[in-house]
Amino acid sequence: MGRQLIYPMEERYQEYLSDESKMVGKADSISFPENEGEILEIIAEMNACHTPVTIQGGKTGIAGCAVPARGHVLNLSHMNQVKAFNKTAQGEALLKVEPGMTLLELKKAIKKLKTEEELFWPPDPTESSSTVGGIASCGAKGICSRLYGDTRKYIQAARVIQWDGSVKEIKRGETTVSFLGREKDLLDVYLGGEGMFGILAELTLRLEPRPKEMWGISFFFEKKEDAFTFADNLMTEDLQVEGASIAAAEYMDRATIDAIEERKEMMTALKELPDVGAEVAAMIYIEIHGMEEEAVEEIAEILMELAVRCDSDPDRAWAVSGETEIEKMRVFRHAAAESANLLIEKIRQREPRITKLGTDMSLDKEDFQSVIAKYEADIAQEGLKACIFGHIGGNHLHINILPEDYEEYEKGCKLFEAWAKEIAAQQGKVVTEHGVGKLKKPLFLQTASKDCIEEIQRLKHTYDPAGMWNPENMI
Amino acid sequence: MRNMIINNEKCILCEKCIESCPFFAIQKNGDRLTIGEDCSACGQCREVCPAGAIKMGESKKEAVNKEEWKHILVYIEYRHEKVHPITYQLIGKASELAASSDDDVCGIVIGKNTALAKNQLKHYPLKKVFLYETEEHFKADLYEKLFSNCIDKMKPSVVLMGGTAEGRSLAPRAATAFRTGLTADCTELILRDNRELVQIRPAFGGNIMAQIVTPDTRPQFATVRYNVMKPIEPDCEHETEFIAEAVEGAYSKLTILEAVPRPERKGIAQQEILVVAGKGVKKKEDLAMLEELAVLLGGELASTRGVVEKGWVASDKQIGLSGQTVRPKLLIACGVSGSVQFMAGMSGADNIIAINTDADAKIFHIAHYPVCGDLYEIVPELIKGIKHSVRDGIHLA
Amino acid sequence: MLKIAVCVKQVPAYSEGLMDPETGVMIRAGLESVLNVYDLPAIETALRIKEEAGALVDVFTMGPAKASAVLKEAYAMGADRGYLVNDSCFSGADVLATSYTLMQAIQSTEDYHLILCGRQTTDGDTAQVSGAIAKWLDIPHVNWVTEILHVAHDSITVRQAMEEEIVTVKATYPCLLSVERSIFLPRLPSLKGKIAAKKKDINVLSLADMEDQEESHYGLTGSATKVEKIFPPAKTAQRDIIQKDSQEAANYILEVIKKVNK
Repeated sequence: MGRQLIYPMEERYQEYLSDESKMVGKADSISFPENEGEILEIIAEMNACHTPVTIQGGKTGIAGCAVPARGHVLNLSHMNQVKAFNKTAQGEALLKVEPGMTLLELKKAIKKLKTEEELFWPPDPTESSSTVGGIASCGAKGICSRLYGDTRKYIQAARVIQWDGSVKEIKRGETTVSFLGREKDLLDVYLGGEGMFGILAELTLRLEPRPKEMWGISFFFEKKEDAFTFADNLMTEDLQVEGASIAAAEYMDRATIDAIEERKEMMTALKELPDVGAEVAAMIYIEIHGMEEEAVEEIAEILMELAVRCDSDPDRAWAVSGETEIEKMRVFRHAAAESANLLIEKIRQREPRITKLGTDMSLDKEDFQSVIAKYEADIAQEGLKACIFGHIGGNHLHINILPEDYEEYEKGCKLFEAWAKEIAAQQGKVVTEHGVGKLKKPLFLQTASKDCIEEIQRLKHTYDPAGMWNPENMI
Repeated sequence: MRNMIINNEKCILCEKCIESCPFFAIQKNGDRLTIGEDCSACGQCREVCPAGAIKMGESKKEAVNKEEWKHILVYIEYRHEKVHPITYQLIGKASELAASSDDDVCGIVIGKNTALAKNQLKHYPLKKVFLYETEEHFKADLYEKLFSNCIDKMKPSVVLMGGTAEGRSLAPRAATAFRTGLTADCTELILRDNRELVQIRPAFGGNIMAQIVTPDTRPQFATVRYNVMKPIEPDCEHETEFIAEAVEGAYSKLTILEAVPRPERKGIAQQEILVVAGKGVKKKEDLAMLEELAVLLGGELASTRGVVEKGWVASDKQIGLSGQTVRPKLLIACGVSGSVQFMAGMSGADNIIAINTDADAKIFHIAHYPVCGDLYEIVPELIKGIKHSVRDGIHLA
Repeated sequence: MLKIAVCVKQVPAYSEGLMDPETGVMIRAGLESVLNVYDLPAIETALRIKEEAGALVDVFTMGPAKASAVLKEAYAMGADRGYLVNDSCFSGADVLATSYTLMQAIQSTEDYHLILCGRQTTDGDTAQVSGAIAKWLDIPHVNWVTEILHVAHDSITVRQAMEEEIVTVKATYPCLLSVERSIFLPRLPSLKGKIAAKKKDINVLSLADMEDQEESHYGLTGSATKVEKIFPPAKTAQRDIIQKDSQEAANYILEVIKKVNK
């Protein structure tokens, strides 16, 4: 036996009982394995005493997937190495990494690769300290999923440690299981599985050529209705240009902008951006990616004309290009979520019963205008305050209710339930990319179809018969 | 190209030079290597080339008669009748250099009431000090004329200046007046037998060190940052010759309208010393202890995000990606585990001391002085120790 | 009308973390080139003066052909003309030769009233080129400028942050100012400006455009300093974790504080 692997849950490990959901869990012990061998040792020990295990990465989740309900916390943040890089005969660039690698570390690691062309891993949920394993487990995809699609597309294989300590190598396209009458790739059971089926001990990521040209444009609107029109036009306008595409389209309302601006003095990264004018009622951030400079410009010009038609002054729109400059814009967008979390945190100091009330629902049947108008009307009718931001594609909005007191919080909860039911009835998604975790479990159980829940239970029973993984999560 | 020259006949295409080049100036074109415009002639490629295929292009410049240039001149910054403390660090280094070459160390003072500098300088090994009496306030153009006048007369081989606001403004102007080289922020200086000054400075944010010489021109100008070199201790009175100098008709095109003392620096981003409270702090009341430590050291208390979120500390004191980025001279992290977000906001600190009970804490990966222990035991002892030192006359703030 | 020249530089985006600490090999892939962040406030200062008092704003950069990207960025912000100072004989220049080349370029273009520079670059980190240009042109210069107080037809009044004092200085034209980052928050390019900039031409200045066409005054041969070698810094960082009793640990920390604060 080597070093001590399992530590009792002492006070100094307090922070590992919580994540960005701010839920606080319970556990008896914790470990920080550094390789697969150590994980296996830990699992053997946990198995022997029938202790359930909650797997943890960067603790940046906002649904409480990594908050332990009981038992043992297996924190993978010390497993953050690159294992291998190779190019297949088909020219696919595959990078094998350990699950505890953060996005920031991954970006650095990719930069170090010696390749002809620059590569990148498309999923980028702006929080740079989130881990690859965490992203894979809840299907986080970030703002550019509009162009690049689901995260699972960029995970080719995984090494999975199962409840009995056996290790399985799963490659995409090799095995399927039936789920709700359709065939689902076995790999996808684990991806988006929120740590309920096994440990992702190693992931093979599929890298793509990095777009040579990237533009980030922030459009400002004095009337939010104009922003809605702009958003809907984005969907219908002919933006097909060979060699470039719109990668991201994000909406932020005035309350969100205010929350961000309030934090400016306290956050170095935000200070580099000019103030947003007081007359602005809403903004839309767009990213264009492409291999051809002219093509990117062509789209930018179409957008400029569209902006003029929607009463947004292109002389005031911020337009930057290149990774470094775009990062500034992403910091602004990421600050939307962070600022909303901080506002909730402030309220929580007054009223600890309040937790984050943020939606992650998407509904692509209707147009943006009517979806957001419905949300806003409901919020106004209940006399609540909220900040609204999110992805224009799929009308995937994050509505963060900001309750003044517990009474308002309860009103907000009811509103959420109503929305979730409505979205579910219209075949939208109640949980899109944040995961269900423990925070949204009640909402999920209320709105998901009986068939769906039963299927998940069946899978859970198949792959985790002993109830080893992530107790109390989702179902 | 004109800088480094690759002999493609000798080149074995191992590409070691491509990898070694810090300026990414070498490219492979088919079966030959070419050196592009980004080349800085640092010679790194020549060092790594196993085939001896790379040579330095020769400079055709006419050299000055280096024999005429001797001794070391130290620029003595003098404001409000007070010699800047960096002077003693420069004199210390200059004396060290002079010892190996039989040269003298001289000084120049430019300012108002320069005669009053004598008392402050007499305990230091200076052969001569030139006193240029002029206006109180620093004006780059006027000061350079006086400085150049002195250099013309004395013909020093080496000129050392402080990397202060004044020194860094004056140095390039003076060096250009003599069409000579200037190396900023040297961390080490060595004088060769032929009086060639070897100047070593960090480049690329401290990732590499560059060794620089000024082969053909004189004097050799170098600036040194505050507190990089060790100050020389005052000793017996020296027989320094103080010489009052003046330049007829020297004037400036700058007019000083007002000068007011610089206001106190505010905010954690401006502090040179920070004490940081992390989650290891158990109660809000315990912050008083860390606050006391910060005040004793003349710094400020900052914190991690977790402590701010508990509402114990104002949010403008938060360090990290979602807070402030800081670069203090000294940062003492107390009970900080070292999240990625936190460390991104403070890894630029010059000196990091970390106190944590957890030997595996990530903060220890970047701390220059990792201390595994309980802050509740160490910090009170430390405060006691600092108070003792202050009583003994050692100023830490 | 007031004529302003702004000197800018293209630098690697990451000044830190360039070298692999284990192998000592420079990390070259994915190294983006950007406009030196310290130069943005200099451009902004020029544009503010232009908006307040009316001015011609020309931007100069010395570097390889790809450096024209930073001139495009200056165009997008609102600069009038961009000059790329580029010739194979300009390369390998130190402070002396760089400042001489820029001086030649500036002098060969217009009689500027005001020359603006950023505080320093992120790659060279010397903050010396501005003062050297001023000397070559034989005009006064003011470093560490934190505020523009008054722009007159014959002079400009600014605030300068020295170590102990804030000084108000009036400089008569022609003069050079080196501005601090805090002087203005630089604007972001507008979409309209950015699209227009793409279509705008860059002027290239080579040796043939200079008043002094003696090749040996430029580049490596015109440089006074020579880099003899580069090497990785000695690792002074102490990484062994100190585990002592509290008294000893406190003493250890105290010694560190004394050393740092010497």
